[in-house]
Amino acid sequence: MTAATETTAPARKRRKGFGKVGILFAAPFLALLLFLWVVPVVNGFWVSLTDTNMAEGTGGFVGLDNYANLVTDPDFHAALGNTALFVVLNVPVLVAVGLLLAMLLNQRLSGRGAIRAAFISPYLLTGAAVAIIWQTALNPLDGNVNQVLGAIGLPEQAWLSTPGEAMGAVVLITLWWRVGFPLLVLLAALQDIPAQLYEAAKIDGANLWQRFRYITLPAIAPVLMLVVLLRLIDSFKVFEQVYLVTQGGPAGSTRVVLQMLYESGFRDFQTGYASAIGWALALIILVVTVIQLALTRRRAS
Amino acid sequence: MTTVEAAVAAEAARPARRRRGGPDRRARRIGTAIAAVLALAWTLPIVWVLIGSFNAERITSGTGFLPSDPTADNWSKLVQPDGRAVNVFVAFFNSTVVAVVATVLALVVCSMMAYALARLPFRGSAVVLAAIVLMMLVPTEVILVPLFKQFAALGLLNTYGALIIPHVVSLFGVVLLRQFIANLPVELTEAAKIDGANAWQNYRYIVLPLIRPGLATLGILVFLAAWNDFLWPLIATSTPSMQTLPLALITFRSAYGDGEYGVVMASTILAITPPLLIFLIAQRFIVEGISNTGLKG
Repeated sequence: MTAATETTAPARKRRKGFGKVGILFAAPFLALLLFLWVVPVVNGFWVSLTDTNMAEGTGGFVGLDNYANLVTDPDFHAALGNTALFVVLNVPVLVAVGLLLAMLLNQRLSGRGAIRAAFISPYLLTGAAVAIIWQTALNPLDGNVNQVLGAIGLPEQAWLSTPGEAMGAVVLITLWWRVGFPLLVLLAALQDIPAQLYEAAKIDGANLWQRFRYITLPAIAPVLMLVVLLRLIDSFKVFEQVYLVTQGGPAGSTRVVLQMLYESGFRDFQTGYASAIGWALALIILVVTVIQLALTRRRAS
Repeated sequence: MTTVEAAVAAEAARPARRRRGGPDRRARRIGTAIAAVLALAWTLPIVWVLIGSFNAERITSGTGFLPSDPTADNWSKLVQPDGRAVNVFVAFFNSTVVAVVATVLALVVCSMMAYALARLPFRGSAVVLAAIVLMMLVPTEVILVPLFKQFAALGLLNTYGALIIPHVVSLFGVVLLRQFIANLPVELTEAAKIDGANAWQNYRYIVLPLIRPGLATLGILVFLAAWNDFLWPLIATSTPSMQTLPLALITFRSAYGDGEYGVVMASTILAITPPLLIFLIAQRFIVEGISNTGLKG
């Protein structure tokens, strides 16, 4: 915001020099923005009010029927429930582990760069590779994970074919894949805290927990809330790791909203219904975002 | 930016503050040991895949962690696909074309837009900037279906165009680069203008060279997003010859998955090597890029 006020005054002066040439620089981006965002957003909302079927051709205006159907569709309820379960498990696990790792990496360590790289590297992989890596490792017959469990005397698991365990496996896979994000953002926030604060607290006799509770947590609170918010939004859009590892199974126990959108839109060609699913998901994400921001603001004041 | 800069500064200042000997050094050793063990565990799944690609067994990981009978057969099968539908090198070529062209176009288009927003405001540019920030909140999945229909109407489905164009517009990229340009001293562009430079020369010879770190960050993020994308190529392509690597991996899994897992492992290694190499070379920019993504709100 400050940058905007800084630039407007001198920029206005310069306008005389370069005239309206700014619009020429903006034109390629604006044209693409129109094609890739503005038109599809408007168009998508319109389609969600029709019963368009891509296989049979066009459809007619049905008002809010698609949305009314969603409210009573047991498939949608199940997909939404699975997505909510994923969100509730994934966000705390990812942020907590990310914070713990960030605090570990914020200590004086030898070879810190290499250790940080190890935790971030999965973040750079495509979901397809992540799915193949973990399907292999979690193979119930001879996967490496069961071999490790067996070696340390724990019972072997049929991770991906047990309804109760499949979602747990997806959450852990997501943790491995995505932890680099909270780790990096929180590490940057931790490194902003002046070391003198901790030294002063130590002299005053504050223990480890007190130093965390009264120095670390308040200092990183705004960034922490932002990380939680971004992870919330991202978690509602979970798709690849579920679709490619469990295909939504076993017994539909991991089928999420985006898989339902993909299947109704591009397998069953119910374009209108699929668009409504997309907008319903966007609305849910919006509501959750507003609630989270309101909670953050209340805590801050 | 300030957070990252402060982090870098803190890193630089650290050795000076380090005390020698005693409990401090022991704590450092214990901390390093814990972190190193965890870090090794984190990379283990990738190492398993690498080992698996040299595994002769017809099962996924063999009886131990190392292949009992190491072989390069899986890799030679990749090179000679025996008339199978998918050639992983075609997919590698497609991914490279898509990611490289998308990156170059995104850097040009987004930096020009950022320059206009920061230094050449036009009628309504403030509204445009606000709209861009707002649109960052819209989940891309909402526009999946209409976007597909638009590309279908233009006859662009199953072409490089369909795979490249959606990655050219980076909303985050414009916001990031605009910030970089806004932070440049105004005197630089003013001086160039007095010397007779026009807007294009100012952009090309003054601004672009000065925002290289921002361009590097955005370029890497766009490259990774295009290289790793799965859902859009899944929808926008219909023939194996247009598949990018993530799709080809999944096709490979169904073609070889029953019994020849080593080939799938080898192709997975092929798909993940370029992003990991880029990471090793340009770690600084990736770290900055991700840290910045977190602070974009």
